[in-house]
Amino acid sequence: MKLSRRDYIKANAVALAAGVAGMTTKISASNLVTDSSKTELKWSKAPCRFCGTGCSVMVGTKEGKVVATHGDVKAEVNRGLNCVKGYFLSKIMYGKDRLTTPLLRMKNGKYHKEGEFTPVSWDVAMDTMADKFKSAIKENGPTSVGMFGSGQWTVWEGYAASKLMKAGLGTNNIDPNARHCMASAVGGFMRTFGIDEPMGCYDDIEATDTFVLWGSNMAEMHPILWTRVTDRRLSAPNTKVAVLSTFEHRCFDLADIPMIFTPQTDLAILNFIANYIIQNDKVNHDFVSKHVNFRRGNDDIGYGLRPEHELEQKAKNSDNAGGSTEINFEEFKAFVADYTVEKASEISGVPEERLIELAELYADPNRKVVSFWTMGFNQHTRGVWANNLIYNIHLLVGKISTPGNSPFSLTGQPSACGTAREVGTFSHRLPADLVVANPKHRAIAEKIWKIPAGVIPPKPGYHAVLQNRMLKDGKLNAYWVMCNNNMQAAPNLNEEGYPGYRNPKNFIVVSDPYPTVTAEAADLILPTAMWVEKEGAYGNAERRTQFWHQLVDAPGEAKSDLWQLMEFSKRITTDDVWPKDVLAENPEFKGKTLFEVLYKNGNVDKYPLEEAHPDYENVEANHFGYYVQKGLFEEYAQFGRGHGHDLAPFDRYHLERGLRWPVVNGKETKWRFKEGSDPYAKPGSDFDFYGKPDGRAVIFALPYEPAAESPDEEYDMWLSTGRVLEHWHSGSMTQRVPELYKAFPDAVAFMHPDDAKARGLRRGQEVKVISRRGEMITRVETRGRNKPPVGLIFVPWFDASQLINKVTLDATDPISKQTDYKKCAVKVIATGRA
Amino acid sequence: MTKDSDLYISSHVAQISPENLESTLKEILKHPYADVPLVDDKGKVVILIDAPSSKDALSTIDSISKTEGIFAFSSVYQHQED
Repeated sequence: MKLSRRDYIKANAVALAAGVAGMTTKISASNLVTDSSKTELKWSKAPCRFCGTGCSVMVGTKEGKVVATHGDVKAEVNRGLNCVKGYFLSKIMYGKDRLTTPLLRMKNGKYHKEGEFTPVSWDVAMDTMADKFKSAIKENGPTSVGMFGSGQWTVWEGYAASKLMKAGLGTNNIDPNARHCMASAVGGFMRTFGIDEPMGCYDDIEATDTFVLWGSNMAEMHPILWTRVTDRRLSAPNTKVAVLSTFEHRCFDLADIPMIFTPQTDLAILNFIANYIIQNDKVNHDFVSKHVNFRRGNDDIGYGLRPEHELEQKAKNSDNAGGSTEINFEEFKAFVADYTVEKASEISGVPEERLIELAELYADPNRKVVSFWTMGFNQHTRGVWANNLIYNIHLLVGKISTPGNSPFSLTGQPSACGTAREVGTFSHRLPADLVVANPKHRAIAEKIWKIPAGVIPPKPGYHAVLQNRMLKDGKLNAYWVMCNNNMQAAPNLNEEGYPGYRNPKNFIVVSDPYPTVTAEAADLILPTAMWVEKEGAYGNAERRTQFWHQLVDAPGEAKSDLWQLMEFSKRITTDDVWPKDVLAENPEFKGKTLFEVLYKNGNVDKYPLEEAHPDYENVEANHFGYYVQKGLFEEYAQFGRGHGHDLAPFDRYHLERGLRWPVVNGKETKWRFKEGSDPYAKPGSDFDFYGKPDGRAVIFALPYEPAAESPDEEYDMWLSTGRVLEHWHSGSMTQRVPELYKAFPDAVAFMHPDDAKARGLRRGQEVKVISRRGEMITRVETRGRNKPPVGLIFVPWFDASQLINKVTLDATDPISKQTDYKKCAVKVIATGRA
Repeated sequence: MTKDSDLYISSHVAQISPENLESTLKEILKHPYADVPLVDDKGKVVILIDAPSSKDALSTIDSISKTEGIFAFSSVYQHQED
């Protein structure tokens, strides 16, 4: 029998699907899979470009183009499966409007804020940019420049960016878009455990018998993990699933205990559960007495609005939102005693028996519990509190850090953990949980980076929402947005987003593969290489670091973020930007370019080109003349090795489907803080929360407090925003995949049929969603996957032609500075058109 | 225009209710570009789609995934050359 190329490819496709399904193929198709000579494809591994789950995919390339993908059967995370977005991954790079040359706004051959976008060379683009950054620093100091980065940056891009800003330009005004998604989780981890990121891992899913989803819609946002949860629920008979949300969604199909609660009242439910556990004598006193301290947090902490806002003026503790005082178990018991089932039911709108059923899942000593959450807790003006309160419950019953017992904060971006958090690209952080405000931490960074003391400023920089406010106020004047679409993503676009970008005092640079809403609001657009057009590394939600090689070239003149950052650094010298006194004390640094100081410091340029893999292209290594990714990674890894954040040697990651840190003596760590599974837990400790000096985690007494804005007579509905399965974040990639676009082309306002009826609206009708800040036009959807209760609408934010963030409020958690995208007040009216 | 060298090949795994296996398989096989090369007795099947265009591939996938009797439908392999 003679098989054609098409037959080989089909046999390959069948064999892979059979492998995933655990079936055996009768034909010898399985032998064909790796026979690339027959299919003319080269297969390589890469983590998916989208969410924080961290699925591994196999990428097939032919003649310089990605033509095929399939789920990686060797990957522990997804075991060969893909969600619909991952399935169409091969197409994200081939949108028709891919940017291929730098574009500068020009009039009469020169840069002009009101000019037209005009193609320019990289030299012109970078020289113009360097000029603007240097003159801003000269005129208004280093706090007048800044950068907005990404949880989608590769590890070394985030690291290179953080160095450029903090150690190069001398400003802490760098923040990632992870501020919008993970900052409250970070705040929760740091406050309760003193060290960031989940203690457990995805193996908890197959080890537990109880899942509680706090606001998370995993069926759409983390579909592969949801497949694992579903398998567990259907294969282990006693498994129970509780789903809590402010509206009904796809996860409710599997829920044993479904629960719709009034927005913001999760705080009351969480405190009720703690009270229930104490009142019913279900506290694990042995665990609590050995491993837990109690503190009372400051209350009445404000809403992170502009300081002159009435709500901030009224708040008692807006200037010390994170403060707390020591208490004991009895005081904590008295504090939560207020949260009776009657009170929790009254506040939340959830029937009492449902609340008791839920509390019993945590209280029952014979049950293991995994709690999952994402944006429901994190995008919350009391997001850090919500994180603290869920840990309270797990700690009271000692259900933590062991297989199947896991409070688990999921992430939305592929490297929110690996890059934004671990690398420390936040305005207050340095790598490995170090912070700029701590002089000892700055000294560690300055030593590893081989720069003089005094270069890294001690004051935290502007966080995401503050950056937009400072742009508008004309205090942030040269600004670089990289690897995100913040004009579409940030809250209160009308009042706080757009005015800053178009402020005549400011110069805005946006690096992106596509002409996003943000790019179109910029003054200079830099065309960017994406995903497998460069060598990269991501870190997922379970502390798993994964690498990939460059598999294809970027189109036209598009260059990676890393290339852009390093090329830019060649155009600025220490004399331009470093403090005079630092240079006077360290004359050997005078006149050096930032490139020499940051990226040719003996660390970053330590590994020769020959160490890069001979079978893969590496644009950056070839351009700069050394294995720059390895040099950056190995320098960065110095921060965490020996301090609980150990990463394996660089080369190993190219061979593995990722490893979960800390990687000690070549072994990854699945459960942290538990003696026996975490090498950092001290012998004899049983549990060791070593992020805190005394090894004890903290249970916090924190109250229920209302949302920043609630519906009233005029603005009579809650608005919650979020995502849908088919589109990832602002849709800049998935909207360009024809299949995904067609599957969910335009945003809609999901609404209860009674609410539609009361307003004289019918399904499909065009409406205005109006808040005190702005309005947007969409269509009513009263059926389908999301079913809000009366009084709430849900509008996804992926659609660039329907910007829901014109309506949202820029209230943030005062501790984490993360925006609450889940709660503001709106009204919905017909536009008068069909 | 579709050329002979164009490729729109994909594979999928579906879980079918074992009681309705035969009728559901018949429904799937009504799709001109779909084949079911593997079936097991618990209702797990592998579906192979080889369509002449992206549009045909997509509508086949969409239609099959919504077929009554299919509990779960996951995509595994996707390959397009045009």
